[in-house]
Amino acid sequence: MRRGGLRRPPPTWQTLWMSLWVIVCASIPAAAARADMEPTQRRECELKAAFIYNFTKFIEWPSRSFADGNAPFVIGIVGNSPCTGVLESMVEQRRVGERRIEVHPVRSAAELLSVQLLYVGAGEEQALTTWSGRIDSLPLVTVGESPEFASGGGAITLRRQDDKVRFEINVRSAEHSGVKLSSQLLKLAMAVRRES
Amino acid sequence: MKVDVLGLLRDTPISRKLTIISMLTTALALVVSGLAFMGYEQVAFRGAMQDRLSMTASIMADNSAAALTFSDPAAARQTLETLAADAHIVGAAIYDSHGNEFASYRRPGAAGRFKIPTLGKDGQRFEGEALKVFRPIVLAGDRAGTLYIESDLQEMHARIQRYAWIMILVMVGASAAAMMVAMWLRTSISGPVSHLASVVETVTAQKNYAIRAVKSGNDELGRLIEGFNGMLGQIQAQDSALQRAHDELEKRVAERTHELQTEVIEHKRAQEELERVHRQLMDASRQAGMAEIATNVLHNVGNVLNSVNVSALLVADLVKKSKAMSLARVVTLMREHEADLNTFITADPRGKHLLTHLDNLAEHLQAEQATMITELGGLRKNIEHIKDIVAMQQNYAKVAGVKEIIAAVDLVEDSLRMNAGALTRHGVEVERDYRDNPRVNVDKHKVLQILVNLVRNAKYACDEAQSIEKRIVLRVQCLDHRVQLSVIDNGVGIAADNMTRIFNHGFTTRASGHGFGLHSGALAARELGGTLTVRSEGVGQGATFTLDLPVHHEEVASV
Repeated sequence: MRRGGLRRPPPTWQTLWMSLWVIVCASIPAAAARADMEPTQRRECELKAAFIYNFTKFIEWPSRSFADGNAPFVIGIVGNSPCTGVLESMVEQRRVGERRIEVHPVRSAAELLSVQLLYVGAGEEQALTTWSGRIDSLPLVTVGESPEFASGGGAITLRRQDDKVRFEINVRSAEHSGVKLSSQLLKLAMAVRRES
Repeated sequence: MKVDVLGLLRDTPISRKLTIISMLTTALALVVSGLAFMGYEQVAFRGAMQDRLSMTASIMADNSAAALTFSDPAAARQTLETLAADAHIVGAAIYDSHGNEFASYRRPGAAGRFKIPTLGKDGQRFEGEALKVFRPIVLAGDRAGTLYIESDLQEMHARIQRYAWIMILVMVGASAAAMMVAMWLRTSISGPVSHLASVVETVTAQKNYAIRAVKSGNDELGRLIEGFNGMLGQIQAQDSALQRAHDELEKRVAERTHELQTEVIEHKRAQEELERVHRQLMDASRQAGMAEIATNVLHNVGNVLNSVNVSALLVADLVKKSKAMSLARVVTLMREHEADLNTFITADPRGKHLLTHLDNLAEHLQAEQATMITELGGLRKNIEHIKDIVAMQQNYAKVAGVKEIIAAVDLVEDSLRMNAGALTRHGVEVERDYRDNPRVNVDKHKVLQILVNLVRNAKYACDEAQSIEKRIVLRVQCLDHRVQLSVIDNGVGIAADNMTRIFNHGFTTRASGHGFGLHSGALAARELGGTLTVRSEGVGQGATFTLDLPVHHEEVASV
């Protein structure tokens, strides 16, 4: 007050929240650094993981896709995706409905029985074709990220557009497996196709 | 400025009053109910608005959840733009889970009026001219972000305005209806009232109580008119009764006036009669007075005339018995002997005797003369007294008699002298008991008149008693500056019954009496400033009359 007569306003809740926010934002790169990943790659993995998790919110699985009421929601991953870890950590504390979420690597068609959402990593598309018969009969949603995946009968294909992640939906392949896609999801899709 | 509404209404005709009252009542009721309705409407509409906005926000939150989840602001914006269907939503915004603006919407043309606020607390609130809602966007139990919608209150205002217009229209309509009702009331209420008022005016102006108001119904007004008519009937009856009474009264007044006039005339006549009688009485009394005076005079004069008569008789007797005739015989004898007178005297026996006879005659004539002179002196005195009495009576009404200072004893002696002849004739012995000789200042004749009367009465009283010894005592004495002249006799006395009326006019016990002497004596005594009293032991016991007079003041001083 004596110094030049300028008055510093007292801290409000708003400014407190702002400072807290700054601290949280600053901690994220720190966590990324701990996982031994490139920040861009990690960022992409986080986005993908978020998308995969968020898809569960807009898709309804029939009850027959679970062994019983306590069976966990299983996200199967085909191939070695670098994002598996990120995904695991993301869904660790989350649930689909009342079910815990587990991330399982899928190496054989038999393992598909307990899987509700199957992530097909880039370059693993032939597995889709190999297991297509099995996949078609099971109420599971396939998520991939390559054009091959989409053309190969994948249900949801993640696409990069500019800086963002978008997705395409093949309604046909989703519907015949007995799951219901939310109209909102369809609305958000870059493209909605109907091909087998 | 305070306006006295009731005062203004006071002089307004009832029909207008009814119109004003019914319209005012209607308007007031409408305003009150309208305001209440508008208040309720505002509250209810706020609730409805909140519900609706809440619903809209709910739908918007659901619809935008995916876009928010998948970080698609364009899609979110697209979703928000569906809010354009509601013209009252000025803007909306979606915040991500970090509170950053994710997407926003502004109503076309309302860009300036809407500013995206920083993230606020969840919930709805009216702030200023807006209803604001912050609604969480929750997806599968996770909070994805927040939706904000702001609606203006134009709809509510418009609604209120509409209600206001409706109210005004209803008010106009209702006022018109109220006016019609008032006009109907005018025929049913103010009509009879006006009729009643006009009838009242007519009755008042014409004083015609036969007019009746026409009854229109059996309500209070009908009863009022009935009552008024009844009152008019009573007034009419009373008026006619009053008129009758008035006429009657006028008739009676006229009659009475006539009677009174007659009475007045009679009264006047009676008065005139009375005056006439009075005058007559006056004349009579005057004549009576004159008669009284005359009686008085005659009485007194008569008393004196007795003495005069006695003296005259005496003188006449003397003259009749006079020896003057024998003188004439002597002269005749001497003429017969003229020639030889000498011889006759010396020689003739008769002649010799002549000288002796002349001597005797001269002696006798001298004695006669002396007697006559004495009698004539008394006569002259008596005549003088008569003259005095007459002169006194002549002045009786005009002036009081001349007063003179005189010795009381002289007065008594005078009265005795005037009665001397009578007293001597009747052989009444007079005793003088003069204890004092005071002087009094009196009208001598009045005192004499009284005393002469008293002495004469005493003499009569003695005569009537027919006793052997008749005696009168005259006493003069002073007593307490008063002189008492008493005449005491031993005559018949006075009966106790007569004591009180002895001084009354006309009272007498004597056959020849007037009943005047004592009456006039008492009056005269009063005029002299004295009293005349009587005392008697009864019949045969004698009487004492006392004239009480004031002593002359010089005497008083010397005594």
